[in-house]
Amino acid sequence: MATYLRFWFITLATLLAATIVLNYWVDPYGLYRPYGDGDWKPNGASQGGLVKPYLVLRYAPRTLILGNSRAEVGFDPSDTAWPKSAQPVFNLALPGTGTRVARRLHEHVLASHPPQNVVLGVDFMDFLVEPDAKPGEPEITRRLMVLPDGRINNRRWLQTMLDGAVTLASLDALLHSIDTLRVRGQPGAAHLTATGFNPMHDYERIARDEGYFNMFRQRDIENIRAYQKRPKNLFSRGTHTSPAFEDVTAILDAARARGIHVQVVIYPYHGHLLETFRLTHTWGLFETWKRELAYRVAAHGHGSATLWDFSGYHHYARETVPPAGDEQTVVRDYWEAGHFKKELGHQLLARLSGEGDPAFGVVLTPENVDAHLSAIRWDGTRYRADRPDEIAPLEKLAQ
Amino acid sequence: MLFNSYPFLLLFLPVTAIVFFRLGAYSHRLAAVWLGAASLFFYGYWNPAYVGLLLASIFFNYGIGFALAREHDAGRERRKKLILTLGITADLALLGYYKYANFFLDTANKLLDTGWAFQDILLPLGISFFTFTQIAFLVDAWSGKAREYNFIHYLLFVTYFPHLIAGPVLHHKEMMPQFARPQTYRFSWDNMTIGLMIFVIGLFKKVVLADGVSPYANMAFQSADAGAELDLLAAWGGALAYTAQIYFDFSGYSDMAIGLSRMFGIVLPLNFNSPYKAGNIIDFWRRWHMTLSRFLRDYLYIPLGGNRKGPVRRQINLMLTMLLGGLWHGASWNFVLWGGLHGVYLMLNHAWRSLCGRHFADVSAGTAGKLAAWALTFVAVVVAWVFFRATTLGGALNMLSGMAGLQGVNLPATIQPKLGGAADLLQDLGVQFALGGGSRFMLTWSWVVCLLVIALFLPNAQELMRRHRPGLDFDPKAVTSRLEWRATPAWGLALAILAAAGVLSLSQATQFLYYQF
Repeated sequence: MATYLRFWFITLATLLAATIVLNYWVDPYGLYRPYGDGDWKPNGASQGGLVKPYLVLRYAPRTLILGNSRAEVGFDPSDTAWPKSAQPVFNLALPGTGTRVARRLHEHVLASHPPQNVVLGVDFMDFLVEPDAKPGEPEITRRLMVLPDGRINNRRWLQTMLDGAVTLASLDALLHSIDTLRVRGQPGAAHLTATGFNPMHDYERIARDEGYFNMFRQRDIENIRAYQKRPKNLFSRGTHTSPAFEDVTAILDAARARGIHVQVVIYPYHGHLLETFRLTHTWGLFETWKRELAYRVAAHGHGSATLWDFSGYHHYARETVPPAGDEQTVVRDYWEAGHFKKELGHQLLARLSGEGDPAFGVVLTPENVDAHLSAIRWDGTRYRADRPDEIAPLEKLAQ
Repeated sequence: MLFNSYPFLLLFLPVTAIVFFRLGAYSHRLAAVWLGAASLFFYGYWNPAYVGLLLASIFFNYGIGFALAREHDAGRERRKKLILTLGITADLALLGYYKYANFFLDTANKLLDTGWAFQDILLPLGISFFTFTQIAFLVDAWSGKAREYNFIHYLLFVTYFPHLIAGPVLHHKEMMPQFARPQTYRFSWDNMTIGLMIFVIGLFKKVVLADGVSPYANMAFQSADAGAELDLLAAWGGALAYTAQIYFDFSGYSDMAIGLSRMFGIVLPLNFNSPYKAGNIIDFWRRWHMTLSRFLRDYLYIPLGGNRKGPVRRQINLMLTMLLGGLWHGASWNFVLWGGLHGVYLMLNHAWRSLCGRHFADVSAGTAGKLAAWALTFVAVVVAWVFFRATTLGGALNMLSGMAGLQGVNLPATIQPKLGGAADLLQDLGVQFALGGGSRFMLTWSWVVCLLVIALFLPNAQELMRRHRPGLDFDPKAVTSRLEWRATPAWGLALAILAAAGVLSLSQATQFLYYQF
């Protein structure tokens, strides 16, 4: 038995060591070694919360992108619209996260290497909360430089070690390494660039195979269900604020104190999603949300922050969705109603730099917000009149 | 501390074992004290505050047991009964307070609109297990079966870390002699190897198989609890995923406990014997959580009268035993329903057996009959798991309505083109092709099929280790599988691969399901 046990133990140790070496060499999440196009990280995007807080510190960007998946897939740090003075850019947006994560990540970067510019994407859905909601701190704070109360995170080393185990000595990492080797150099593999951008190669493949109608339809169903379930409320009970608004305010205050310029961006939702707001009886709240943001950015930005609204019925948002059965037509600017492509992201970034299409995006202020909202309402009426064939299925879904 | 964690595997276990065997060569008593102290540290690592509670329970029960033995020797029946009643009442009161107080307050609030505030009570880990272990000890002391009263051994019997948190539920009489044996304190390559191999199998079952399938069970039940309508395949996929998860989680834990204990030279009773291979529900309960079934039989069903008071009383006793067995799992009406459902199953099984014995002796003798009996048993067990897993009654009913096909049948639209003409046929039969969820559907069913094949067709850990006394009361002659572990390089490689997969999964380790009970 002693001989058997020795053999077993040596085999086990060899297998573990080989796994660690392979995972370091392949680096499936792009945490340890530099990589470029073709060296795809098909599981990198799903591990953004794990790797981005480390990568951003190494990258020390001059411009930081914060937000959720819309920002992660829409704003490419290597886009030519970024002015030279804004580069390098890092996309720290994380899918499925809200304002609290954005705030903590902002504090994390400030504690190490404050950027000069921040592009903060804000999503209407994150602001629909229960009147008594008290959100807890996200798990990601364990790997950040500072704690929510502002103190240095002295236990970060523990999380760093655990993250090291997850990325080097875990079964998932091993399977992901094998996956990474399998797709190396192949087109259509999912990916996360070294600057945190998700180019959505996998969506390109799905769109090619299944067509844009299916992608829009599936998300329309999910969006309508999600907005029907969301609380129809913006503010905490008895107040004119909420944790999400406070997060935005905190980001603006912290940035202003360090001379950082913040551009708060209301995403360019497709017309289908704007109609979803209307059909789920949240349009009024959508407008109130924009008014509140306009007041907050004006009050806390003091000239160092700007609120951009790209969420109107502009010609990009009105892009026609192909009918059922049409698997050939490509939607140029959207993956589906909630997520815009980097092509539209380029137009948006150009506007942030003071160039691009003047009909796309408006700088919102307390002075112009009501007129702007009224114009969008009118555009919406025209959109519905022009596209009864696209609106009717949405109305049916909402019933 | 979790068995499936770095601190346990890299620090606690090696340090505890090395010091135990070093001390054992010098003094058995000291080694036993060390193992008891290490077990208390193991328990306190989670929440040091409850070490005091555990110790208080041990001192109290040891004292009561000692008094019972004295009264037994003196033949004072009345006083003996009084002391036993006091002991069991106190144990149940402790368990009741920590585990059921808020449940009763909630029930009273709902039924009587009392508006009582909930208590801020954190359930002490393993309280159901160490309470039941000690109640059994008191009953054994009362009946004169418990004869050994060495306090260190008693402390070890209750706190012994391999079984402390989630069983197996031990008998005083099967453990105390093992703690008293000199061989227990001598290092043995055989024990270490057999123990380690059983532990590795358990670790793999828990961290790779059970944790691997758990997201798919969780997604389905969370949707059902949230009121979403699940179609037939989604509901069955979720229910079967949980069926596989709970088996590999708890039997994996039990294998780890048995393996760990064996490293220290102590053989524990078996807790699982491939329960999903059972051909009827009576057989299922002889194979599932065997030490709890044994406890409920010996200390509840038989004292209630068992089958000694006629067939009707037997059915009532069965039902009561299963209802309380359900409630033991947790303070929720869903657990009571789960227990009640199994009570009904057992009653039907006994009635059917009696009917067959008289009228259709060979109805389940053939292959088709056996297959039908197995299928019915398996489906009944899966249906009952729905109540066990769902957090609300509405969620459970929602899930069952999906499983009954009341929410239709959906297939992912992504596979529609691959089905060719069959897709039209399926649509004619009412199957819908839904957008989204394709990868989830495929992964759920891939996991379910793989795990059920393992559970139904491969030998279990004790069958593999049958030549090496893997558990107490184990009968190697009953094993039919030809696959058997031997100390060969091929088995060494195979188990090193399982161990590597297990160790590599520790960074994403989760708690055992039965830790909550």
